[in-house]
Amino acid sequence: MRGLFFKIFVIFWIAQSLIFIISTALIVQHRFPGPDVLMDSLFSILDDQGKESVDAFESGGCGSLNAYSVKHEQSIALTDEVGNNLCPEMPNLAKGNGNTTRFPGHITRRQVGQRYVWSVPVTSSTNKKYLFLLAPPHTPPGHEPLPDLLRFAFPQLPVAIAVGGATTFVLVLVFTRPLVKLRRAARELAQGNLRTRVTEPASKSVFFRGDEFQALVHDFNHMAERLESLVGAQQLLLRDVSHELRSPLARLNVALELAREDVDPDTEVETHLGRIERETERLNKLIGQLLTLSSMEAIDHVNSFEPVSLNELVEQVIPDAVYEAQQRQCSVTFHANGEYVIHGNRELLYRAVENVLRNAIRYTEPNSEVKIRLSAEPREISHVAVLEISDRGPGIPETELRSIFQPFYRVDRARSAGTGGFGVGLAIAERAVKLHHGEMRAFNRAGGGTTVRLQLPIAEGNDSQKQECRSANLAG
Amino acid sequence: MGVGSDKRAISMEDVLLIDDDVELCSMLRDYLEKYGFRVSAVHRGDTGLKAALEHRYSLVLLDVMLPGIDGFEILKKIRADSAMNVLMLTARGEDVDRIVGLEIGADDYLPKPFNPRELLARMRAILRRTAAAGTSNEHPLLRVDDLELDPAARTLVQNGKNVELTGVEFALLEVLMHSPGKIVARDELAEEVLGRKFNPLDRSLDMHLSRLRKKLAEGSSHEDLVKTIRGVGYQLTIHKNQAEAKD
Repeated sequence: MRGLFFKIFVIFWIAQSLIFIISTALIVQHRFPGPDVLMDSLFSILDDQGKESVDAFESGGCGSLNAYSVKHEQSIALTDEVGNNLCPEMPNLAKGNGNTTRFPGHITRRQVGQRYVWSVPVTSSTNKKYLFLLAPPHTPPGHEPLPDLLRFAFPQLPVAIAVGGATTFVLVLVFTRPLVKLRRAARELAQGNLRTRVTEPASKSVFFRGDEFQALVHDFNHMAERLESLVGAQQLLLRDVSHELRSPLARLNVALELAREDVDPDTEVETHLGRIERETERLNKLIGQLLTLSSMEAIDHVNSFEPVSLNELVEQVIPDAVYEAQQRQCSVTFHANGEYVIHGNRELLYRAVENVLRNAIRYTEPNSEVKIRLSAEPREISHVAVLEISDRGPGIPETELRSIFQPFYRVDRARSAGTGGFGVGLAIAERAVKLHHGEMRAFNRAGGGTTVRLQLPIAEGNDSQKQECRSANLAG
Repeated sequence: MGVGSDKRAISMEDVLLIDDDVELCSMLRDYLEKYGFRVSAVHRGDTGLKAALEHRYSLVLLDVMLPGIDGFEILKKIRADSAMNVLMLTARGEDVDRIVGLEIGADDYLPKPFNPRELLARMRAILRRTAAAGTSNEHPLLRVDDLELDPAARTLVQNGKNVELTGVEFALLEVLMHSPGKIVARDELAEEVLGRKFNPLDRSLDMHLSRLRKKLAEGSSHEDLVKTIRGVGYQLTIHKNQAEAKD
């Protein structure tokens, strides 16, 4: 969300600042004449002063020229056509070399030291040609048109930009704050927390009341409510149906056992009864899994969290699974990179690992190996424990890798019919992992088969826990 | 089974079944009667409690969801009065139910739907523990620290005071007191006391032990008489040097 905030803020601010700068520049340009106008007026002054000083020279010689110079407080000189100073007692401005710039009307500007000497040819009324030289008093640099603009804009422009930034900030906040809230709520909703609602802003602020954002917040809450009631009804139905199915099943079990007692064990009836019993057990297991699933959907946080050693957990799951694996002539290996203790519910984690492992054994090829690897990976703040269970089964089409965690999802119905699963186990495992703020993913292995990866955040202060465990064991 | 003859002969086969499923009750009665139990079935919670308190049954099979009073209430009332054997039939099969049941003091639980053979095995395991009391005259008195356990009379005396224990609690303590200070493996304890293999998801042992701990802590100056060694088993701690099991 910082992204949107940042984008809107920067774009608005830049646009505002540009508007300020451009309009100021336009105003400055309009107010102050450009260089050409300055030059033109300078040239006309030069021309006028040249004519006046030539007149003074012709009428009164060097004395009156000097008086003219003193009167105007300007350092001037007059030379003849070839550049000889006509009044030797006055400063010889014609001397010295420097960069010479030529302007239209035979005006030249020569830089002498820090001063400029302007010269303009003048023709007197008696048709004699002179060269008028003027050296304006030295002015420090920095009187150019651009600094003028800066000086004009100095206090106003930065203040305008700052005020623009502040108002943009508020504006963008008004836009993005409700969006941030909405997005957070939407994400929580997607993660299954259906009780999420967005708090509607206090209605006392008349300014914000009834704007589109508030309408959106209202509609969002309405949507969440509807979603919650629908999903809740579905879960309730699932749970009630599963529960109600158990009573007849309980009676069926007893009736079956009674029938067994009355039957000669060597007859065919006994085999049929055995089959009925197996199917009853399957049905019972399915109902049990459905109840587990629906009860897990209902919890959003587990309150009975305790430190659980994943190593210990996997070692507990393995013996049962090995029995199943042996029947399919495959083996189970377990390799751990260390001891990992996470904060969680032992039973839920056990179910998760058990279901994934049983699934792997169910689908792996005969004479193959199911590998369990336990390691840790660094994350932004802490570490996560990574449990990978890999089989050598038929694999899963890439497009369906995410779907296998949905209840009753089967990749290949014909193939899985004989495997004895219901398609609920992985869904249970995924819910369990999610309840522990973990993540579960499946991907295909190179060389065939599937790896299911369970990521679980490692408990804080894990090291000390481990040591406590060890010392307790030592003490025992 | 004459009147006044030893109590065990009557109680061995008297079972009270409290369950609102009438059909299930009648079938269970048929089934259990084949194995030598006399089953009285009650379908309401309140009448069930009355029956349980009036007669001395050797075992009560108790459902949780009952009209009148629910199974947990009945169990509480029974426990206030006696250490009668109670096996809970948890219809919901949810963890909360079994944990609550065991916390209140049920000897064992069985989630519905159950296999009747399994029920039979559990009932027999419970009754075997009780029956041991009558036949184990040759069993010696066990003494560890200030605990004195008499397997024959099924009594526990702590610091001279009598402590009321349920069948499972008694059996647990008996096994632990046979080897005080040593760790008894979970698997061993589960097989000896509950009569079944240890299952990591089955919290029964933990629940029974925590009840036992609470009862022992009331009369003891020591914090934790029964220690849990995580992932391994349990241990009865010794505090005095002269602690020994007398033969």
